[in-house]
Amino acid sequence: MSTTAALPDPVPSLEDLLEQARHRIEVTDPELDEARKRRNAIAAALRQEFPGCRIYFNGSLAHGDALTPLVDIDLGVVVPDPQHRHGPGGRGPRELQDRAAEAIRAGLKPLYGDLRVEVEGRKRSVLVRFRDPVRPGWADFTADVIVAIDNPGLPGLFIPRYDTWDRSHPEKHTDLVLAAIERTKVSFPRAIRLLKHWARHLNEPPLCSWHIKALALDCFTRPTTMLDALQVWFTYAAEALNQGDTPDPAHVGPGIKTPQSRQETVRQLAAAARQLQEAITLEREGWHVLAHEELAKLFGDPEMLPRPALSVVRAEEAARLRARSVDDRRRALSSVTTGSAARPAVRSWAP
Amino acid sequence: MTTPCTQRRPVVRWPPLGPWYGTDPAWRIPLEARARRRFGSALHVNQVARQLRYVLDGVDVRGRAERVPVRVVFWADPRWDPEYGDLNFGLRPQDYPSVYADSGALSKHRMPDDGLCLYCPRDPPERRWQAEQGLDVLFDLVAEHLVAEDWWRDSGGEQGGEWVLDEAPHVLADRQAR
Repeated sequence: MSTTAALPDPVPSLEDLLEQARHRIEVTDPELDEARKRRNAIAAALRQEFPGCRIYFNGSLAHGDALTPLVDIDLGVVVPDPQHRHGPGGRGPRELQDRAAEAIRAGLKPLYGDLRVEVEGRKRSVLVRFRDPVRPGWADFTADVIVAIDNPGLPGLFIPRYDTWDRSHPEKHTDLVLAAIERTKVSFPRAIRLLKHWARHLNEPPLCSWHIKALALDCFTRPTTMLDALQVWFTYAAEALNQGDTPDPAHVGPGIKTPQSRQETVRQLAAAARQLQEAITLEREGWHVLAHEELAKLFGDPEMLPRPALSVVRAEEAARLRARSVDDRRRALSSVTTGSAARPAVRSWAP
Repeated sequence: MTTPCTQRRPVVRWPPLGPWYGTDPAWRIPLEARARRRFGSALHVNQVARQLRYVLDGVDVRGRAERVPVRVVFWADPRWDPEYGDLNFGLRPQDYPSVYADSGALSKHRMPDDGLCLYCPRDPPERRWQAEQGLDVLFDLVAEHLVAEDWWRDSGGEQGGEWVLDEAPHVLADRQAR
């Protein structure tokens, strides 16, 4: 291959680029420490309010796939209800949510004086606004606290849905994710980070974080490179969503829906799979700058994965087209069919 | 060396309105199918009288920071130019749409009306785009053509710039040679 463009030495592989990008978006240890400190403070307040309760953690902090900046945490309290006063057909969640909110206010005010805790109008969680960003300039740090009760005789919990209850199994979700982390020797959370970042940088994120993980639970079965993981996930996710909504991995709650039309999400996933495959093909053929460019465009965030210089991209694309034209001419002269249905071997012209 | 084209509108002879290939779903659906899956709401279609117009919000052109909008016009009937005669050069109109992008850019391979000369109508079918291949393939050809134009200008343009795609002889050059 010849190109007039100057290439960095050594040329980073797609896997190298993904590794570098992953480190740029990875949560830092100080952020994790701060998030755990705040989460533990909430958990302590809830334990004091609901003796005998069970605290569970989920979300990105519990699942090991948090991105920087880490500005929210998720946890739940399973309130003992031996008399079965609460639940479908019984009392709604509001009374327990108000108690949780008051306990958090009382317990955390000495540490976070400007704290706000919201219950009114919330669909599921009690929202804790710390009003104390971890670093200046970052968004406020928040916590989503689920006040749940056990579902007697059946797997999972009842979690709030406004004034009533829904079935869910958040503890099982975290167990499944932790098992996947072990099974894949941490490929799982690393790839999830990249995928969450990909989704967040589209105009409208096509999938929520949990949906990304639920799909990954089905297709990440062993340790793998990041490139393979992304290729497998995009392909699997497009095919799976083309069939229907994603079932709850715990087989308790309803299927997971997409925020926009499923058809549009499938289209975006298929486009991403195609773009990644193009990057892989270009790298295999030795067009490293073009491969880099395709990967960078897939993520669309120059801070996470900078694009190569445009002049270098243009020069390598010109070299690729030049080489292909020579090949097309050679084939045409030898009467071998040129081009294909996917790309006719055209000749530019003018009248 | 070819003199870059100046903009000029071709003459269109308008026959009576009536069904034509652009109004036929059996022709349009396969034409659009893969492009719709690939580009979603970025692909727009508009049928006006005996034209079927597609607009793509932007095609990725390697080496450019921003996507480039593309407009494709299918004509119901062959177009005629006083100087060049039949502007479909004997091809079915559905296999020779007008394609516009990067309006007014200096190029070695454009039509008098600024359309991109993506492929030579005199070439055999395997070296031409045909409607059966779908709009998505046509947009890929546009992206590569625009890279070739960029590189041609970067490498000297009219002063010996390099055209990296395969080229067919120009019709005028043919006529002069004869």
